Amino acid sequence: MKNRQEAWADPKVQAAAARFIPVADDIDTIPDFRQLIAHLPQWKDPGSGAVANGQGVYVLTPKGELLGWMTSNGDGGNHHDPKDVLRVLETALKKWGKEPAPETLTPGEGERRFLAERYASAALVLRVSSRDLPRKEARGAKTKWTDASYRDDWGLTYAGLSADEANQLVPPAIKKGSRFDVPAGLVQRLIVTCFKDNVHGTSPGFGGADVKAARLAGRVVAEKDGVQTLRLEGELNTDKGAFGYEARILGRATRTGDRITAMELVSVGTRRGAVYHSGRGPWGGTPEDAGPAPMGVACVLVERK
Amino acid sequence: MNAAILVLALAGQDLTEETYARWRDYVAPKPQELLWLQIPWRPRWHGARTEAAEKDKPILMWTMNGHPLGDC
Repeated sequence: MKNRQEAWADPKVQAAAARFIPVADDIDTIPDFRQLIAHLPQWKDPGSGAVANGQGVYVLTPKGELLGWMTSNGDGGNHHDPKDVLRVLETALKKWGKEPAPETLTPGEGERRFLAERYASAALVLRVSSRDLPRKEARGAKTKWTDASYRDDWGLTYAGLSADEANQLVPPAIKKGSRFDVPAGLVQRLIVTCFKDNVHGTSPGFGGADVKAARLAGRVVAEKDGVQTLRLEGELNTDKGAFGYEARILGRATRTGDRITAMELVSVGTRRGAVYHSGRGPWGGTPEDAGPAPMGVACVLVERK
Repeated sequence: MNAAILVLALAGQDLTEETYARWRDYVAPKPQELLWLQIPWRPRWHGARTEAAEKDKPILMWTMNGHPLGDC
């Protein structure tokens, strides 16, 4: 996520972007858009020779005419560099020939729109972030971990829970001091969905058969004026041959009346292995970072309005 | 305690009730790391051209393999 935040969090880029209809989408799901950019050069995989299918930034008129672009091979600029992004946006606006009124920027508005579209039917949505934990490297060694941008990187995804799942995670009819086990099926789904290594890119993608240990239990530690405070604890072990993640889980939850108003799950453990496009190497001129190495995951309830 | 978690405990990186808040705050994104989400990204290409025509605005399109706002 670090390269995304660097480009799109820049105040000048944000001010420029507000003058457009800003769209973010998965290039693999929009063939009609891909046709519009099919003639542009894209990155070619040096190993397989496969040509990337269009990751990048593009500026278009409503009719689909291109006003500017930055493709996956760097044609037009680096779309992770705010200076390049700003140049492309400003140049495209000049070609457009008009000065559109900027849309008001509201904290979290992009996420709100994404969740409204993707998780419309979910009772709860967790924002799931992953991050490498601090570690020591041999003095003088040059590894991925000695690169500051690698150390600061983090991953993001989301998990939606149905009303039934939310009630399994935090049962409504329990009293202070009560203990409960979260049903195994839900724990397995949470582990597969949330507790994965996407810190720098593609995760190994665990399935149910890869979950070798999964436990999550809770207890009500306080209750006052209709507000229950809960603690959760458990562990996980995913093992997919060369890939895996083994961790302890702790969590917090608050139930206010019939609503879950706060929810957190945090894991700290050891991950191992790295798939292609994981961002952990071995390509790119630095040694691969397949671990074992410490990694954490934090799942936090997103407040939706 | 299994072996992997024992190694973390010995390295001072175990997750306990005492260390919980520290690790949560370390792993979860900081407010400045979420600033890029304040751009009002429309989450789908479909419909963008219609909205752009209605508002007489150009389209800024950001694409990735997987959705740029979270699934890749």
